[in-house]
Amino acid sequence: MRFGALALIILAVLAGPVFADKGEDFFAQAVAKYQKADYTAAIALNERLLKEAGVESPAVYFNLGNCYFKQGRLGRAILNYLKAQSLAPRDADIKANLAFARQEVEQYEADKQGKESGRWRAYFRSLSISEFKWLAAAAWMLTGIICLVTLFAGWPMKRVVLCTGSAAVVSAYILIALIGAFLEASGQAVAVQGTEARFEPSEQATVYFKVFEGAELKVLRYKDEWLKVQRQDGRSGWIPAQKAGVL
Amino acid sequence: MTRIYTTYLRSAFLAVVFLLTTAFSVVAEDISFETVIDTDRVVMGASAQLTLTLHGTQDLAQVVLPPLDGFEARFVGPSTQIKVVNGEYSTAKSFNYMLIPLKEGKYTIPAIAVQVKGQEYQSRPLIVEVVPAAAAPAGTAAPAASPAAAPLDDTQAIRERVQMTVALASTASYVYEEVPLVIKLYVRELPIQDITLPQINPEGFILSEFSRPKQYQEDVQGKMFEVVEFNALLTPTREGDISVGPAVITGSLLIKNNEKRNPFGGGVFDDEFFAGFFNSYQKKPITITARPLSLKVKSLPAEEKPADFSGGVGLFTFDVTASPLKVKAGDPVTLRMTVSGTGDLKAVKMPALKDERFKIYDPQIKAVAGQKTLEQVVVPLTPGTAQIPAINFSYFDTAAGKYTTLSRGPFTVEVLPMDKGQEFQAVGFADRPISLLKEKFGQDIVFVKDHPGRLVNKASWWGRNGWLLLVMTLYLNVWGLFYGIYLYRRKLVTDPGFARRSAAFSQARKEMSELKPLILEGGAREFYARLVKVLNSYLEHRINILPGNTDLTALETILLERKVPADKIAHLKDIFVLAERACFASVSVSVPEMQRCFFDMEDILDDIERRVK
Repeated sequence: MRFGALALIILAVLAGPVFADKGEDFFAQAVAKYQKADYTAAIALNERLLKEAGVESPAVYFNLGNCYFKQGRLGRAILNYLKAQSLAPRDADIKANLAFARQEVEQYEADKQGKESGRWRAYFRSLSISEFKWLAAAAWMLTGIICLVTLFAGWPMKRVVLCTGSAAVVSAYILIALIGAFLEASGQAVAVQGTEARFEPSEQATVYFKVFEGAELKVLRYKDEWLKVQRQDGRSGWIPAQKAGVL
Repeated sequence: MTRIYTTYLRSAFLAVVFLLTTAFSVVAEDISFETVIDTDRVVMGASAQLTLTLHGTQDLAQVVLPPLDGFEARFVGPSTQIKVVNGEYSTAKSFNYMLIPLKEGKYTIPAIAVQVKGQEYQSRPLIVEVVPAAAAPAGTAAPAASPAAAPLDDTQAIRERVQMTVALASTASYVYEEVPLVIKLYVRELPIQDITLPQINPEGFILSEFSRPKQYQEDVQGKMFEVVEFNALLTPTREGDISVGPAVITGSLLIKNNEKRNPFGGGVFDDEFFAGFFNSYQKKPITITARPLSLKVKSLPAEEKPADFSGGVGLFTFDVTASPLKVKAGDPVTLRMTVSGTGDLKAVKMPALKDERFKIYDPQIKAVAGQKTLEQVVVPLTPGTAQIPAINFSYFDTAAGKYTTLSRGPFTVEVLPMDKGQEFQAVGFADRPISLLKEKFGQDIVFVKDHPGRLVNKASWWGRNGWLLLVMTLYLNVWGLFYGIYLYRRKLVTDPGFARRSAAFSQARKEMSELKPLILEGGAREFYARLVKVLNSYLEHRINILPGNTDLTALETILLERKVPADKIAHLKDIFVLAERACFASVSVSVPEMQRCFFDMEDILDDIERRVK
């Protein structure tokens, strides 16, 4: 049973390159189309890469974001840049393009002020989810090693518990950060079209505020075809689900 | 006739005394130092005058006289002299000492050294003889009442013959406007020498150095005076009423020593000229003072003051030239600005040129003879027509009472391209100042990436987390293994029964391997004896049977309880029986039988080890 599970994992890992080859073809074609300023074709190829080949990478989302930006579709551009950034948070190109695209987005003063105070968001975005996972795993493995070393060294049990417990606290902190990053990434959305946020999930409901294309939102609830989103300054309202792209 | 002749001689004498003080006069501006004593024989009870004179400069504060053998030296005071020798102007400063002899004898006044401007100057030693009073010849340094002394001590008489006036060109001026100051010393029929420059306390104004004094004769109310005129420029530094003076000049009045004659009259050979010629005068300090003047000083108007006001106050002219006006790029053009006129040129700040199209060198500024010039090298950097912009000079016109701005230029310079290969030889091109322009960058997104990087299967959870899981699984296995080892080792230490059980099989195998040589040797008795011992030891440790309790019936029961197959137990019993016969009944056993028994024994031990937990 144990060997069976191990074999399954190895199979899953080795199967990756098969999908990747197909994805690389799409990617190369999309870059060629982009260079010819055929952004629509480039978008289609990148979307096929994501759906048909079923693979992803920061570069794919980055290039897709560029295509949308060139078409003037700021919302989708920012959405893809954010996706790229979630996989490669420290990539300078992604940062630059995202910052440039954000400059182009119209926004209200209150919304902008709220954005500047997002320390936790910046903290969680310093590493990708994948990196967080590895970091957490490494921390727990180190905790286990510390435990073994202290046991074999014949330390008194109190000291063993103290050392292992300290390492476990650090590991737990990293794990919490991982969960935080996961939650942060999972609840993010970008308005891909300009729309209006309402007090209720209905076209007849009172409009609360205007949502500009490219506005970054936090998803609070899903209901039928509506999303309850929160603006950077804390104001929340309902928008049609098709008007936003969720990360 | 004699009277006219005498007057003429007196005037001539004054001029000679004033201009030619000593026969040892120095060449103008050459520095030398000398000591002079008025006599080489001094009578006990009298005194001699020692004069230490520095010629060519007045840049010496004090001379320290070393202790002199045979004399007591008393410092009388310093004096300065201005001389014109054959039209050459020079100065000197003297330090006067009175030497009082202490005892008779011949003494040497040693050479005295002074330091001036880092250079040492030394005088020659002098020999002086002190003689008793009776040995003194008539007419030497012995003090004697001068007939001239009585009338010359008369202050009123001196005041009539020595006068000084101070005059300003204007009674009102602006701040920083130069006002000419004229001080005149009038002397008539009096022998005066060692006169100093006029001294004025400069409170509220700056006084320039006095120019070379002029000397001439002037008829004042029918009386002919010798006049020494001093000129300087006075620059007020604050507004309001300021007091100029009093001006003070000091000098020495020559008084005849040994003849009681009236210095203001008498025959030709009774005159001072001849008396002085024969060195029969002594000096008396005299101070001449002029009354102070008042000057009303106005401030410069604050209104309409140009931003580029140069600080100049007076009346100026301004001229600018640029040459050459046709150059190659990188070649210098000299810009020359001249400011001249009346006014304090030191306070004038020269205009500066600022133009980024030219490399501009630091200017050289000179101020000479009533004009200030600025020379500046400018280098046009690019071919074409370059224009040096108009240059302005602003000053306050004291005559008009307002600010005036003079503008000169612009100057058009035709700049030709540099010769081929000469581009990097342009004057000062390497030193060209770096002009930092504010750069404006374009803004756009970064170009797409050419390589997709590591493509990950986004739909498959296993694909995304496979490596992590693999590593974690391996890690957990290894960790579990090590933890198991730790637990096993711990139990060995804490549980003696477990330790015995664990060690039983390995111990039995070890002892079995030692039996092999006995088979080949054919020692059946010893072989079976040790075989039974190994078997008993194993069973004792592994099944925890107490030593001595290993009878076959009990053993069979225990092994059956531990689910050891019956055939194995039977086999074991056979081995025990055979061993008993071989040991105690001396039954002969062949080597192959012993070998078979050995292998059977191994097989039985393995089986028991697997089944008994």
